[in-house]
Amino acid sequence: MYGYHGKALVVDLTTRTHRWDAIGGDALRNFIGGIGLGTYLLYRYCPPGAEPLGPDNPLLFVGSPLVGTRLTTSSKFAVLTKSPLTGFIADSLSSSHLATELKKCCGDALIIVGAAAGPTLLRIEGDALEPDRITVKFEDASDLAGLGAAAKEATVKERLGDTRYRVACIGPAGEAQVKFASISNDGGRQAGRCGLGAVMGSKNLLAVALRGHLPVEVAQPDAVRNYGKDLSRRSLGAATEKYRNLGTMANVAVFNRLGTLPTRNFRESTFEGAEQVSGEELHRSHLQRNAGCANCTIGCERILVSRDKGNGKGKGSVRMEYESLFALGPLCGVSDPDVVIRAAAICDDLGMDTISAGATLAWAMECYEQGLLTDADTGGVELRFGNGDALLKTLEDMGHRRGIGNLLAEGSRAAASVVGHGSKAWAMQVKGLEMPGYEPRSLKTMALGLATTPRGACHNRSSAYEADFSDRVDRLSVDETRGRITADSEDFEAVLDSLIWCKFLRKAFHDFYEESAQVYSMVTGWELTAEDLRRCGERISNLKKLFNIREGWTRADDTLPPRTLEEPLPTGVAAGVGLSRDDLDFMIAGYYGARGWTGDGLIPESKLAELALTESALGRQVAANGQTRFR
Amino acid sequence: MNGTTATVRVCVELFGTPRIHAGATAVELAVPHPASRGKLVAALAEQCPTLLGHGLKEDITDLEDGYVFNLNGLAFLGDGDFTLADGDSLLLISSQSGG
Repeated sequence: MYGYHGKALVVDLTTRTHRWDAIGGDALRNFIGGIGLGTYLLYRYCPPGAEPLGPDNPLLFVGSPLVGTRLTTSSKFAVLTKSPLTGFIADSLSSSHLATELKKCCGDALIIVGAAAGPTLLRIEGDALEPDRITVKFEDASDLAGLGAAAKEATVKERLGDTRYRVACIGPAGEAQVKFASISNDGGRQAGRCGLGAVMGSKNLLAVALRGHLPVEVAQPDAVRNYGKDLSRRSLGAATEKYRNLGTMANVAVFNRLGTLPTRNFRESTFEGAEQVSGEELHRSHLQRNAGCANCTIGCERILVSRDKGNGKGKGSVRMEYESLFALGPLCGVSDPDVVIRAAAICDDLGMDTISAGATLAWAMECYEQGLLTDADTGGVELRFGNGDALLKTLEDMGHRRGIGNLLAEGSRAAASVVGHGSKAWAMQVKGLEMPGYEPRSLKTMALGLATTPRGACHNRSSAYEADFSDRVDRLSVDETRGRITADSEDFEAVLDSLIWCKFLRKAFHDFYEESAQVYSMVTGWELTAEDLRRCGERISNLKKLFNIREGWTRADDTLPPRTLEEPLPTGVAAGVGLSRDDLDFMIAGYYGARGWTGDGLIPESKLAELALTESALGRQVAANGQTRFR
Repeated sequence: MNGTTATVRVCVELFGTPRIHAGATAVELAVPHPASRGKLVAALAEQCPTLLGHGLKEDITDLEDGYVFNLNGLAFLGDGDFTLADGDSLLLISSQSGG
């Protein structure tokens, strides 16, 4: 088999056993890899109604057919589970060397079930002479407990005495089951959203170390190599210049000018301190070095260092992205770049999603200013917008579930349920997942994407904002085209996240679907057309939704926070612009229509049959050798 | 503007890579009337030659792929021509909006 191994390693932490489960060719072709294959496996392996932090909830690490080909940006993997933050699908991507080691060690996926009795390091090692033979060890990890994510990774490598091991681990936030804890790998890269780290923590699994030898073979090596050279050349063109020069931090100043930079918990969409924390300014004043993932020609990462280098209170340097910058800066009213850098470093070290951490803090700051949280609640911390010291202190408390941090560790939706008094209106989340840095009132197509994407408010699974940042639509108004645009953008992202290509490469393709289908065929030897690939995207999007429906999704879950539907924007070029419930419902109806769903957002049997997503069709995609043991 | 004015005065606001290469956040330009896309690009290249290859095509025919103009922070301008009025602001930004 080329591009795949046709099998997944299943490890049961409760029984301390492992086995290989076969994955049929139909499943691989239909769901590709990454997020798509992971969604399929999650649907099969997660029992309906599983408690997210219970032992039955599986944690999946999934590779892709492109991993190991050395094609630019392809060293990526997906992590999936049922989210403790949302109760729905959790699907995140991370990247770099771990992706290749995962494929060489565990086949197409590592599926972790059960829970260990105590802190555990899961060590999986292949045999160099007999690659199919693997050794799985469940090692005591008491010595790792409490260590930050970076220290944990370094300690594991030192303990194993082999730096070629690749390690995924959680920080203290994952151990404390903070609902938006992340999983870290390769020196600070994060599978960040939806609380994957909390699930890993609930299994007493502090780290996974992989070292494998399975061969990664492609069907047409010369063709893949030649294509790779051409794609690498294109990846260095103007289409990626933004990411190569400033990285995603470049968004801050532009979004501020366009009135789309969420500020002080989405009360405003412009920030008076935006220039101080802009990518351009940070590039000038705080850049330590550039970096990139394994096998990437773009190199979008910007490592920033605070002027006080942490001031003896922890790391003072961090890999900075727009989303961390917006969430820990403007969203909390903070314009001091040293504070934002230290805050992002704290989140990475504790192992917390910077978006959810920042957005939950912004919610708490508003509660404090409204008098719903007091000094008695915060331990005397003046949790006001713009108070950098309060931001840093409370982040630490969240990661360790200390004091007010214990409440905030539940995320903004759950915290608002406890605090009450109308504070849900400014809990800026969808389906429980805190919103990214895209103001929906001035980006109407993105508003629809944020409301409908299965994992909750997300800019990675829906790129509907691309239409808003173009001449295709009027971003400040609503029309009947947005449903189709949003559905197509989700399907596009689904294919991108399943092959897996980096999102920053997308404009380097002449024709994304044509080229990707050709590459898929070169790698796997299986003929696939551009139309087949589009269909895969639609199938994956529908299966995500099907998982959510199974877990209790209702029409009421596709919405936006009350603030965005009741308060017009007060500042900037979009001042006075709002988004009414009627306009959002109009767009949602158009989206359901474009998807072929019912008016209530359910998937008709005919659509499921068309996409081979009926229970019987999904069952037939299980391997024919009868060895697959799905729950 | 009245019909006898020979130029249109506009401001080009720079973001990201163009800002770094120009060493400025904005450039004031006088563009021959009636102002058009081509005239704007030519005037910008003349005033900020460091933008060639970093937002502007080397042959000064247009923006590079991957860049776009936005008018006054509101409308994104496509590939076609456009006209400008005195006092307009053009935002020169990357068309790669993700992050």
